[in-house]
Amino acid sequence: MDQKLKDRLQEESRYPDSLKEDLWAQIESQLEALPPGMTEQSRTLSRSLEHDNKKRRVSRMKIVKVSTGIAAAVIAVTAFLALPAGTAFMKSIQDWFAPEKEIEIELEGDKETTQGQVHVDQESRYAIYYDKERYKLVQENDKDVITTIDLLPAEYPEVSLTIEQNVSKKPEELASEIAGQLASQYSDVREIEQVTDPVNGYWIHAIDGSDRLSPVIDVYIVSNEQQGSFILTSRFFLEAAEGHGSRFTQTLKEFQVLKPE
Amino acid sequence: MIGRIIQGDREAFRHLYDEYFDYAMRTAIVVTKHAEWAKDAVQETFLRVYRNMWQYDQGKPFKPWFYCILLRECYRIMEREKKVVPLSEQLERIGVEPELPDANVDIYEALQSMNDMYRIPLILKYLHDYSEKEIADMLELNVNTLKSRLHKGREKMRSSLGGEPYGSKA
Repeated sequence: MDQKLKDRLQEESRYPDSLKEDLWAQIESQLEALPPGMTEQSRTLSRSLEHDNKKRRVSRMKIVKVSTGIAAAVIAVTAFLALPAGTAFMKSIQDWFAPEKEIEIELEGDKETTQGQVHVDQESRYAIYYDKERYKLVQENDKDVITTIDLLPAEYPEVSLTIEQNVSKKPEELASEIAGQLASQYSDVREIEQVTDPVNGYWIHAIDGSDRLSPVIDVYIVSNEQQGSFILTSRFFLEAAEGHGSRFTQTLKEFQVLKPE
Repeated sequence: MIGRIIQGDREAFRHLYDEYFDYAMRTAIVVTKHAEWAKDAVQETFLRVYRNMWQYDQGKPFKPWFYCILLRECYRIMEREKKVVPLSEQLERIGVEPELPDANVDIYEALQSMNDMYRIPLILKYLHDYSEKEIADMLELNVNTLKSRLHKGREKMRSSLGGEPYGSKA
């Protein structure tokens, strides 16, 4: 069977004979097109900004325009992504922004390692690693939603971790507002707590019932380091508290607000 | 050769291209499962290698360094392109998995249906016959983690193939 797999891989990875020279011609033209002094970082920035322009989406979250300062941050972020592995250059920051990293999660006393995928939102100014083996990140109009890769059966309540931003309200103001809203949707809404773990901010926990499928919500409100807040909302159900609930809490530990330039 | 490439010697860079192109192209095709994405990944990898060669530590093996860049490029392009995969195509993909295990499932399909955590180490192992140490270096894993993933990957393959004995017994 080993040989069979090797043969199939060789077969499936075939490519046209002409490809090698065609691709070399393209590589050479790219090398010619770039002046010798042009750095990898500036080239990556050009491509990144071009890509951003194509995919720019209208969003309440995205009201912070790309300014010169943010462009400088983009250089920094993209430079790290561009760095080959194994280089010691600015290692600590590279660790944070590496495209992937292993995340250790403790579930019911057992530790497991999972592969974290970075999502850096340069316009909303935050970064997070999420478990790419179980979840996907969906960008909606006004929020980013981390949710299960496989759809859950219809009878299950929503399982997601939502990241959105309110650019004009500070965390303390928003916390009481959100707690008020939750009171009309959940039978048991706990007092607002100020926490430092998994994030530094305000926490509101609410649950609607005590059955295994009773919806649970945890809302964390964190300063966006400017005049507003990030609202981080994890939704799951009671039975999944030690599963998705714990995973989301772990994911939130990876949340980082990017400081304004 | 590395020193000459750092100095901008295109001929030396062409030698490196000749040496690594086939492995890189085959890896990218299987990892991305998409010929066009694979071309982009390989092209970008060689450009990146050329421009960043000065950062390569010549005291360490070149191959893991090269493959780290290649795999990152593959992931970057896959992530970029995944955002525009039509829903119908996604549903089609989801529909494939429940059919497993099945004795008629092709071994390549079984490999490609697995999570990247197991799929990528197995590709590197069986496409190129790399050693566990080399693969661990490329994936920036410790060897024990890599061994565990190869083992679990083989188990999953066996399961997908309807319990057919698979893989080395080592």
